Amino acid sequence: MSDLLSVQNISKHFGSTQALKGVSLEATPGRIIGLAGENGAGKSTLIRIMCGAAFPDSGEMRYAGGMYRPHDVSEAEAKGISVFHQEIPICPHLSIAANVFLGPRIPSAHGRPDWKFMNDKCIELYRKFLDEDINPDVPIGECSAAEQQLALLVRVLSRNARLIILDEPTTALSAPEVERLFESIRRLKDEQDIAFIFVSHLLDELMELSDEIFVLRDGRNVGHLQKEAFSAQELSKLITGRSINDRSRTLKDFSGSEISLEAKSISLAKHYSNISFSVHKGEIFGIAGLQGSGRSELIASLFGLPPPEQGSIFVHGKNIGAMSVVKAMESGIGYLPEDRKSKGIFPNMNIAKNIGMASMSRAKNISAYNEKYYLGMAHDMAQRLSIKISNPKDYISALSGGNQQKAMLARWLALSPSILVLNEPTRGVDVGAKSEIAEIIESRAAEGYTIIVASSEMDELLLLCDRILVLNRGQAKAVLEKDSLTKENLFFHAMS
Amino acid sequence: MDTLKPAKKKNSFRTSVSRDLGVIIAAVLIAIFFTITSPVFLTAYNFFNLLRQTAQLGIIAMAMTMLIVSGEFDLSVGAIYAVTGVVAGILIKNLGVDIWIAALIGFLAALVLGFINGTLISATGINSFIGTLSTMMIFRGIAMVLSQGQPISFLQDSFFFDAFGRAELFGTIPVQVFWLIAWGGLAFYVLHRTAFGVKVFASGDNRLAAELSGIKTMRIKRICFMLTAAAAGLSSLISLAFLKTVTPTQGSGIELEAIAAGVIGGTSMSGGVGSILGTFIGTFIMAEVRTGLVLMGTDAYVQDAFVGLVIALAVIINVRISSSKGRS
Repeated sequence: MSDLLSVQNISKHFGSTQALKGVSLEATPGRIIGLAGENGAGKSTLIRIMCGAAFPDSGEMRYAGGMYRPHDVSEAEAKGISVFHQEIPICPHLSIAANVFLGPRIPSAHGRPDWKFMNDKCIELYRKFLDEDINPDVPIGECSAAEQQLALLVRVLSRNARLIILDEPTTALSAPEVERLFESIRRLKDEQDIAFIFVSHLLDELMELSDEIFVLRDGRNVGHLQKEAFSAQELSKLITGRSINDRSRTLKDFSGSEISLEAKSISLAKHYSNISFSVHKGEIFGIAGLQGSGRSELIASLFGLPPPEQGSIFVHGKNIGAMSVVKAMESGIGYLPEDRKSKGIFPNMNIAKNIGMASMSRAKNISAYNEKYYLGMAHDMAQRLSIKISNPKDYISALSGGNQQKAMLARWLALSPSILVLNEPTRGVDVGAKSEIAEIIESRAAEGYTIIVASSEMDELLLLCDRILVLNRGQAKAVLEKDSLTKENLFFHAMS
Repeated sequence: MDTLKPAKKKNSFRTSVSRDLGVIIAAVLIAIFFTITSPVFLTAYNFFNLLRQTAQLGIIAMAMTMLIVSGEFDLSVGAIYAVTGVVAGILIKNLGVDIWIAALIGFLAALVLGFINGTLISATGINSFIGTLSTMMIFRGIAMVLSQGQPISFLQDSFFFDAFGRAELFGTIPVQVFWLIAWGGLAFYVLHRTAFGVKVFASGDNRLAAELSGIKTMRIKRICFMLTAAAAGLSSLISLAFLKTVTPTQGSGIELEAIAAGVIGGTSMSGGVGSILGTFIGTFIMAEVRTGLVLMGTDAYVQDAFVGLVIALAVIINVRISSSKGRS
């Protein structure tokens, strides 16, 4: 079968940065093309060029047999190329049908929107494309994130999309929702002959869904793997340009050492109940569980967000009472939130202030802001954590996702807390930064920090942790350690 | 280690003054324009006169900037301005209280109203537009009831009138200009040179992130509300001293002018961005346009329209500048 879209030798620069250096790629109807690469490898630039949001400096694109030079996004859409971004652009208070038909030409009769037509047509479209029966009257804000994405898929399909670019579509989805979305994508590929380009930094997802994978690094094609040749190791090697170490530290027994934090039968209604555990000095303690298992709520409770309703938390042997952000900080706990963008960074502040903020909150209101001190702190932290900073006075947005995440870690390490509570420490960062962050966590533990980490990525926990508490529907199923610390056990307790 | 690479991007022009460079240039260009059209525009007398007229607005606008940076704003400043004047006026006129003590009590009344605003917004979490819209009406009502809707004038002499509104330093500089500069210096120090200032920026830039960094954002915002009310109180005393009269309707509309001055100076209504110097120049530009148009002999009714035009232009330019900075 011939290519639907063929990108040949595309180059593009922004200022002095060469984002793409002669990249090529082909998309074929009825196939899912994976696109892999670290942040900054050129994936987003390539997508922007394909969907008409940016012009290439050189190279050409052919689409459906002719030259393809879209001037803007709407021209690309008119030709049948649509992009799905991480954020889901919906009108939450409107119905599914309204969201599907929203646009310059809403079906109308007698000058008013024709709801009956839209509802009937919406049901028909869902049957045709997804083989599903739905109620088109439900406000889309009440649907799950996956269902919202499916509605948008139906929307572009109803406008004769032939090539759909999925840019990190699973970021907002839980595991079962991801499965649901993938099923629909496979169905569309097989039955409607749609071509997909699938961009993700999750290797498992890339390998599960794609028929072939193109890998970009530093703006160049560095690999093109067919389904038979997929392997996580090969992919990470291509993506990062080096191989990822396996677990470097050996499991140690901490049962004899001092207890830093202890939770005694803590509960939070609807999220988790009757959980007890204790974490020792120098230990990396993992909290695992599927989405909705109470994992995220449990770890946030350790920083008082919100505190447990029952039970008590002891830090260094002292009962803290009702945990709060301020109390947690006073007892030496630092907390890395799960969503860097909404709960971590200050977009209009420079790197030095972003790193210094937790230290600054301890400063008296009337005390002078000592810029030199915080610039020095940023400098030291950049050295200690290998944060790639050209100038600590730059906005934080000048940093890549991985470096921003390291800056968030630096914010807490600057306070020298005794306990670090990390909620999804590597979410939204690329493979290379992932292993660097893991290294940072391991070396802090070796220095005597107590570390508690929750993650939805079980492989990551297995590589990192000395012991793992597994949650399942709000219950503690097991604490895995030593010989029992295996992937099989982890999955068994999390899913059963 | 190889972590500190030499600066590649031209990002280092972002010091606190260069950020305000655009608005400073605008102020100068407007001054040049009016100097050409009207020869009396660029005289020391006109310059100080301009600052005198703008002092009350400037004092309020600079405090309001802090509040806007923290992520809130206050529509009730005009009403607080009226309450301060009316409370002091009644104490002096009807109860015969010493003028200094009356002024102090009026100022404390402003602080109490600011505390009420801050507590209302932080305790209930309601939007500051709705919250201060309602307190604006309540406070204005208080001023009306206390004064029975009548203006209050003073005939006696006191050093107070000189100190706050009538003296001229070195024979040329109106005392209001001193208060404007002093308050501006204080506001600049608090917002740009203290830990409190950084916390104000943090609260407005990303409230959740600030909370998670251990900053008590509600407390920070409450203090900002009180500082804004204090500015309204000070302004009101300056007006009382200068005019020797207070009216319960004084200061209506000043809240929007104060917000506008901040916006012209580059303050972002979504919080986290703004500067005292920018707002100072923003106030100055508004006064420049008004005075310049008067000197040109323009119809008084046209002036407001022109100020509106300046606000729109300033915002358009600011949006352009900030979006071009955001691009990588």
